[in-house]
Amino acid sequence: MTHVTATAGAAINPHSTGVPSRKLAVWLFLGSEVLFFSALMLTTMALRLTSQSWPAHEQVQRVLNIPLTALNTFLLIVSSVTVALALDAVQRGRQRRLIVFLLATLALGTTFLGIQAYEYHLLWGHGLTPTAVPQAEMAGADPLFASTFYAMTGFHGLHVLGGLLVLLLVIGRALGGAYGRGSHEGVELFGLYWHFVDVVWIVLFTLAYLI
Amino acid sequence: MNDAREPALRPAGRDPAGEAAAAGQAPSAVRGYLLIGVVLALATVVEVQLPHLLAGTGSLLTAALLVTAVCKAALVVLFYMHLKSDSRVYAGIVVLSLFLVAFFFVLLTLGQLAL
Repeated sequence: MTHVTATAGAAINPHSTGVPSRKLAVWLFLGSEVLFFSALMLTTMALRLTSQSWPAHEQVQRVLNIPLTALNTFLLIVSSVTVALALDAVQRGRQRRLIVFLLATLALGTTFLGIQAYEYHLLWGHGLTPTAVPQAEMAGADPLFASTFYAMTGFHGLHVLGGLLVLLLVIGRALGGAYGRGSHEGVELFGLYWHFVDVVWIVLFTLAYLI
Repeated sequence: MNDAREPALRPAGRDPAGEAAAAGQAPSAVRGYLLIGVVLALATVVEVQLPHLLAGTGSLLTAALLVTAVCKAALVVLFYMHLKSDSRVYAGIVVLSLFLVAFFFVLLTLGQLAL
């Protein structure tokens, strides 16, 4: 099968849309993920607005570790930078830089998950479980706050984990020399997914921790 | 797919400008990515401080936080995901998804009002 390469790193198959099939598929997948996470967030909003005992902002601030989560947000943002720099590196044919930036992304993403796991450990010990709120700081508060918190952040964490597993594959292929100036679609597609995970966290951090 | 493979290590004596030209890439892409990253980091710092700065303002705080989050998300989507410079097919997918979200939001709101 022959392909026409119209842009560096992405072969375009002859079909009606005029864009690379794999890239289109990833964007469609991300579109579905927008609906998935929006459903979680809108449900949380609806429950919050109709609840008679949703914990007040001050109560939430006493339980959730905002500075730690802000650090986590910063780490994920930096990982988006390293992914972008990795793609730039491979587009310029710089293999070493590609691998360095991919490894940096792996380290940052793993640290993000580690901090989130640590946060869960602290919160659980504090009494915030998926079905209950801590009685000391949120006596009488709606336990749905806890359920929605863990649902939103938990699903996001699973997406980060999935991304890291894919990243391991990408790093493996990069070490094998699979990517170059004219062939780096895998790096680009992974980058799209990883940036999307960052975007979701940007919104989630605001909704679940700050508002 | 044309899977041309290049050696894992580049030879010495590279020509960055030539590589950039060959890759069809503007030479300032790295600076742009770093600048966006700095803006995102600073916006996060501001965002974390907003609940303290706008304490007790209710809707104003909520609006400020939402606007900040949307701006940060837009920067990532437009520049890191290259939506600004890429095919409009992808932008169409994003717009359609957001339209569906807005549609369900309106339905939800109408449903809440009807209760």
